[in-house]
Amino acid sequence: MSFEGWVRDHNQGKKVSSLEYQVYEELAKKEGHKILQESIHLFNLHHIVCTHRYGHLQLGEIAVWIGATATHRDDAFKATRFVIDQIKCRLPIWKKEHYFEQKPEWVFCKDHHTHVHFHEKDYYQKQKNIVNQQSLFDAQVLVVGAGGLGCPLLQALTTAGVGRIDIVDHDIISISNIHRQPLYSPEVVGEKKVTVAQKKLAALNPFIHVQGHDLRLESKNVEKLILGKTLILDCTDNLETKYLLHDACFKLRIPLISASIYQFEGQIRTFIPGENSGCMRCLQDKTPEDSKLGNCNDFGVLGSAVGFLGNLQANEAILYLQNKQNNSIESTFYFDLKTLSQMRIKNFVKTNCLTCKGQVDLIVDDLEISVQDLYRRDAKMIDLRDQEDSIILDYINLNKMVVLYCHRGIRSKAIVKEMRARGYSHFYSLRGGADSMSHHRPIS
Amino acid sequence: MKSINIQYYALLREQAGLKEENLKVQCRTYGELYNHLQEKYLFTLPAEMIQVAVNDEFALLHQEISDGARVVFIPPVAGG
Ligand SMILES: [Zn+2]
Repeated sequence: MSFEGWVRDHNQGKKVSSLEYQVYEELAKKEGHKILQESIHLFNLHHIVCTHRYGHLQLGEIAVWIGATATHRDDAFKATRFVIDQIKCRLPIWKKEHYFEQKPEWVFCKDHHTHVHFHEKDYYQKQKNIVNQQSLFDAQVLVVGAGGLGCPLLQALTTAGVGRIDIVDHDIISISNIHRQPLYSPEVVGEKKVTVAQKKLAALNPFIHVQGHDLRLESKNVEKLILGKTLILDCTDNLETKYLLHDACFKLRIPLISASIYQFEGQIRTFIPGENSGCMRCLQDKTPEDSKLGNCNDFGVLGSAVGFLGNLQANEAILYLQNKQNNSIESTFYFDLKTLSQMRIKNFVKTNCLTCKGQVDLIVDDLEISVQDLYRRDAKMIDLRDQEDSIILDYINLNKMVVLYCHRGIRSKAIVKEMRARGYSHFYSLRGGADSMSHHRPIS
Repeated sequence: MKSINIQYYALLREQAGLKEENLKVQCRTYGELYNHLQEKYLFTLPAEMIQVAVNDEFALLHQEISDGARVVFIPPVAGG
């Protein structure tokens, strides 16, 4: 395991142009050796070396290098982190930052890392009697959707100690997300959900690895994203993505836990390909269309209700990761949080269901175009909000791309589908609708 | 005539304006029953998007209605 500390181009909002280090060499070497000895002892290392440069360094140059060897890589990771943190607190090394826009300043390294070093076993102390920590640490899960279900679920899986958590989401945080998505706060409105979630979660538990992917789940990337994972968590909010993820999981035989919510009514089901507990296609071959569920209207959602369901989904995941068993494999559970009633319905298993067998073709769909892909394209944008569908008839003979959009892109997609069926191939629907434009204003 | 108890969820509950009801029906299958209720309550969801559970197990819409059944019509839910 090796670590490189580079000269960064920014620090606390200021643009850094270069760095100057001064060192009290004799003391630094002596104290540095102590730190290395301590790390060998604490983390069962075979060996560790560290070098810290001084003098005037330019952007991108390496300032600190640490190399550690150990039988278990986790020990090497932790030791490296321990050493860099200790260097910042203990070594007599002073750093002067040169900026582009202001006078250089001496920085107190301690300010950067006020970090106390904790031990992993203390972190998990209160759960040690009820979970098998190693089985959680060994797991690699993919969470699709970092919204109302995803936030509480991610928080629960992170703090429980699931070893590797990947997150897929393409959304940007908006002010209307915050009431139900506790990883975000008003000052991060406009930032990418995966970026903020990754940072927040990594800070919550330094003993695991969290990785965000700023992507929309699509037929062309879904297999690559789920391959090799222990468990997939569906925290998405639309049927199209849910079915795509479901089909891909059956194709590659990867377990999936799916949850959804409608106001105060939630549902959850675990799918284990190859276990003869059925799939969503056992009852319905066709993918139900989002457009039929309601036209671009938000149904209304409350943090406490969706949070309950996200935590429940996390709990089912934690149970499954330990024993390959949970409560929602044979049956689907429905909860009504207004009456606190619950319904458990045994899943239907179709004999010879092709999806259950993994014989799945992922449906490729080119009805939509994203805001990013539209950039600098010559397209006619049609706002369908407050308009009748028939407005599009004015554009059927237009000799360029026509992009329809509504609030969320559900109604516009249904119209595009109909127009394509009638042979008009120049119609597209804006993916995510007007909501997706709010942070990318300037399009034609 | 068969006596059944019907429960509605999510969008169907809103459109029917009730959570459950007891009915005597002449329909043969659950699919026919849904079509009948769709006319009565103006359900916007087509039958192919609905799942039906009978006595706490998912069933097929073309199955024959059994007397005394507890029938639940469940629309797809996508929120998250
Ligand atoms: Zn199946």
